[in-house]
Amino acid sequence: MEANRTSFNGDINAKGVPLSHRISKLSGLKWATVAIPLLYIILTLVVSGFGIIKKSFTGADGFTLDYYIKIFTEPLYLKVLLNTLLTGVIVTAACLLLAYPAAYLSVRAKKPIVRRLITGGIMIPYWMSMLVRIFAWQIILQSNGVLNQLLMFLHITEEPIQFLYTTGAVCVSMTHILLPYMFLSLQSNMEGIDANLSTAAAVMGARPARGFVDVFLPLSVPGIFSGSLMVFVLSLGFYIAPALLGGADNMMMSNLIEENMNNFNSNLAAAMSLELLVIVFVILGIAFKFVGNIFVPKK
Amino acid sequence: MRKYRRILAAATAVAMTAALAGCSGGSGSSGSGSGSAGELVFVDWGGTNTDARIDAIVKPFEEETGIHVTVVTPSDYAKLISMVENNTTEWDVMNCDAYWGVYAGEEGYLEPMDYDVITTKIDDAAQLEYVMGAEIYTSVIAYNTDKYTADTAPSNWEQFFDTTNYPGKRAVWKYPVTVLEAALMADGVSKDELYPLDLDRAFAKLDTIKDSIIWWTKGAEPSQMLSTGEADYALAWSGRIATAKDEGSPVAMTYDGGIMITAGWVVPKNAPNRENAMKFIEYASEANQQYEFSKRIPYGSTNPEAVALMDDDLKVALGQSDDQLSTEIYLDNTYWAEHLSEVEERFNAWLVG
Repeated sequence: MEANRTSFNGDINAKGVPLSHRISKLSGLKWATVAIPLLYIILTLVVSGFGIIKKSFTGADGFTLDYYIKIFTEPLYLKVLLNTLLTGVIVTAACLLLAYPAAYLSVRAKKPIVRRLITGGIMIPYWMSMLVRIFAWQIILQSNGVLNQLLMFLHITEEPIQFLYTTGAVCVSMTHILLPYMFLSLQSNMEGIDANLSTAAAVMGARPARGFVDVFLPLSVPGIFSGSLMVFVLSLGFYIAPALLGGADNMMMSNLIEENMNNFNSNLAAAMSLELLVIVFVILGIAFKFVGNIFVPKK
Repeated sequence: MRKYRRILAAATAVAMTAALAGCSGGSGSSGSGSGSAGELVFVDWGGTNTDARIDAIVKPFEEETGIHVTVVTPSDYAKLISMVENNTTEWDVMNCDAYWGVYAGEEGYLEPMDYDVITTKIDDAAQLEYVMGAEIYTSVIAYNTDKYTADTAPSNWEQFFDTTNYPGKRAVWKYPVTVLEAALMADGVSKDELYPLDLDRAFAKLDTIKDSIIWWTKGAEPSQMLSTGEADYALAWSGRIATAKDEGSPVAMTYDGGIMITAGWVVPKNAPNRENAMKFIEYASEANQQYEFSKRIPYGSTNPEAVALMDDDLKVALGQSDDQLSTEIYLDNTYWAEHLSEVEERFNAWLVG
């Protein structure tokens, strides 16, 4: 296979050709299409990033570690951080469990109509206003809302259950909103998995379940990782769902950051934002160390 | 190759939509065209509040002075802060809570009120160095009228905090302002001895009903919660309950023990149209304009002459009749300006703990 050839034979997209080589070989226009977005990202992310870093270390008298000491020692900030991370993990896991079968079906279904229905069903709510959807969840989950009425009608419960203003309400609505990201990631990854491989596994004598676990699943891992990372990072910064559907005991970082921004404590808010960023990098770092480059399928 | 292209396309699409989704936030209407006397960017909370303001104050102001007013919503404290910090102030006058205005003024983010231009006299407590008082909204006890009457619902804070005789869920503002005052009054502290707030005592009192509390963050929520039966009673804002009641919701309230919050006008530092801002504030503070505003939306007025213009029914509806005022208290802006940050932090720790 071509993978073992590392000499440049004119095809810069062949495996094994180093990135720097590839970039230098791009023609003028292609170079611009890479350089301009890259420059934009550097200017907005990196430059403003430095601004936030500097702010989080600056107090009334110059350099200070006070803010970081505060967010790592005071119970309020630690609890809220834990809530945020926990919610992120739950939401990511839920999105994965729901999106994986849907993506698999949409990619492997025999009739194209099935694929369109599934994709449409997941993407259409995505195109509706997020605020409207969260209010819809309020209506469904409230004490005399649709869900409680259904449960009482079926005589599963006699008294309304408190669904709203709980961690459950926050997780359910966030899963609903972040599902399309996971779905798209998984779907685009699964499309690239050659269907013949599963057939080959069957021909070799593997039962469908074994074929799935040994052949399909490992190849879908990059999709799982990129989807999970996207959903997790997005859920860390989520504001509206916890603000409108959350109770007192599941406050998230975004709520705290917002309050501090309103109270002339933007330095503390900057420190908290950086804390979240570092956590994401740490998670990525651990993943890379133990699993290798998670965005490329293993041989 | 197709795989890479597809992944790239999908990733770009998702990234772009994520970026768009991240750009939420308030709307801004930017007016072009300049009036002969200049421009003014006026920032308010939005919704029916701003509609009333435009009708009663902004439009007549435009006609009288020829200044072209651009209305921006909603009032955003963090935005004002970052505008002033980055020297890019676009707003000229903003409506905010008076205690925040005092805080912001002390931190150096506001222009001092120009009392040579603003000659209208209002309540002393509302006429401050950096804030000119405008309207009053009150934290009151509200209840669902389908289930309760004025006699069966709690009629003062002591009863509101009494879960034995008044069982049920209470919707409470997820913010220490007025909530701590209510707790202290329920515990027996008299109006004059309220400030500085005894925080330990207030939180101890709140602990006794913590399990029965549902927290709300947006002003429209308590009337909603009461109407749907999510909550039996509420600590809510008078203006919102009055509006809901007018629209037919089964809610009612009592002003007994109400804690009055003053909202007012502030001018951010380096506002581009500072003089016009001061003119606007003077116009908005005049008795007639205040009266017109209070007629359209049930917020009280800080201008005693405006209150004098009201008929008795309106006064009672706004909680500004003499009887009601004797049981109500004004929020102490100085206390909150000084302690907002630390009390809020302690409140959050109590919520989560």
